[in-house]
Amino acid sequence: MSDGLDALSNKELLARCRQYGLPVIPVTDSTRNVITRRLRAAMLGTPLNKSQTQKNANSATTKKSTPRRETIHAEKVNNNTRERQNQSRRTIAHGLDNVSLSGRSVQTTTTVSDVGSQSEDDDYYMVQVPDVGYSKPTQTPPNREDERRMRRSVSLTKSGVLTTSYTREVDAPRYDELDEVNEPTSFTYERPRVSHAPPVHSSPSSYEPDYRRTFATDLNQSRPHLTQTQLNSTSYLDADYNQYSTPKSYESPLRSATNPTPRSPFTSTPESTQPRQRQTVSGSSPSWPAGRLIHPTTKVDTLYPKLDNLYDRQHRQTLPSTGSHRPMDVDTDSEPDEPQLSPSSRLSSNTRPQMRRPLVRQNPQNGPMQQFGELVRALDRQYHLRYYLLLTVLVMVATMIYVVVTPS
Amino acid sequence: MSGTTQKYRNFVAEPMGEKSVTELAGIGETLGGRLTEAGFDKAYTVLGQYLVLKKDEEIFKEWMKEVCHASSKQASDCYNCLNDWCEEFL
Repeated sequence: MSDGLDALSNKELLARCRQYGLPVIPVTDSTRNVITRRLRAAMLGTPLNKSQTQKNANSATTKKSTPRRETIHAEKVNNNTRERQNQSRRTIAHGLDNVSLSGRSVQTTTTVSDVGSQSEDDDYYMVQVPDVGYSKPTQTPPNREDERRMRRSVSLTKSGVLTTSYTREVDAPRYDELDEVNEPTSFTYERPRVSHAPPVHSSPSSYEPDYRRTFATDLNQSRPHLTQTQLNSTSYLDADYNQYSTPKSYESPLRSATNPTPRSPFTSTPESTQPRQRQTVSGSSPSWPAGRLIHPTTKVDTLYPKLDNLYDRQHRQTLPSTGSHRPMDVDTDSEPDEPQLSPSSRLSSNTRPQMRRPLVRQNPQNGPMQQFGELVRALDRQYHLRYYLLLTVLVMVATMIYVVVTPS
Repeated sequence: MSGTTQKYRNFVAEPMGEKSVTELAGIGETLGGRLTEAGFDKAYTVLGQYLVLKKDEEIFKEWMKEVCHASSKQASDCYNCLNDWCEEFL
């Protein structure tokens, strides 16, 4: 050419390229011709071709350093179009392997709960539609949808996790609070829990208040003492069975827990006496002596309750009337009707039954004879002593008649 | 877009190694012969030229047209093939 570009060295050609704003490309034997042609077109102002004209008109220096997919400049219409074609091609390659359209529908169904986010996703999709329009219309949109779907799924997952964690957090503090309240033996917090417990389990109205109290106590202390819960449930069954005939017969075996003598396996834990005490409070009759606060007015009880009553009488006579440290007091905590005692007078939450002692003590009329009578009645009711006694008498009489009648 | 060809997928699916220039998408026997005559007998030599041209699409296509008299579609296919291969392995 006449412009002398062919005579220029590689460095000079490179300097010319920089001078005219052409992409700085290493000038080699294989690239020299291309660079010379482009430089000549830039110097003369004649377009090499249509796309090259626009490229020369725009800033070509930015394009060389710009990655293919990172930025999309409005000024590079043709270049971007080709780049988008390349991207769409890549999208197709991935789209063959990964499902895009079907995946979107599935995602929509899974995110039904989060309506706001889903509508947001749709809006976002609509906004992005024009942005996709310049490229291949059939293939590029699914690619962007997949990208949004991934981002969308991440946000949904976070929301779901948050909801679940919130629910658990609400439940966990309650349980902790209940346990904590039981530990400091504060009665002000236990009252609402006791009153709240019966409706939760929907106990029938036919149940006695004693029964409710026992059930509420189970709710409060069931978690820390699983063994105690089982005992309470057993006591309920006994109470229901005894309501027809003798509602206090079941208390006798548990009564031994208060005694220092290990009659039953429940003596080691004072909480095991709760069901028994509850029933005692419910069945407490005015006929019992002062020392028998816990025992009900049962007539069918076995030998154990009577012996326990005797032991209680002796034990209460020897001990002062405070009794706050006794394990028997634990049972009355569950009663919501009972007035609350001052927290300072209680060593633990098990000291509520103190209020019932005066009720039982109001009847000091029971004496040793009455006690013995009760014991006899209890034995008769359990072992049918009258029947055996009558049978024995009949046998003796028959024997005597036989001896008398028969000649020796 | 008409989609990808099997030749394109085969080339992009694995490292080019010592593949011939004719295994590039858009390069057939005719263009391959011309490129070989110009000294670009292997695919990696065309890749080197593509890299020397700094992945510039226009310049690369122009170079392709000059060296082997490729059409716009052939040059575009070859460019896309090399570009996607670089996306995967470079």
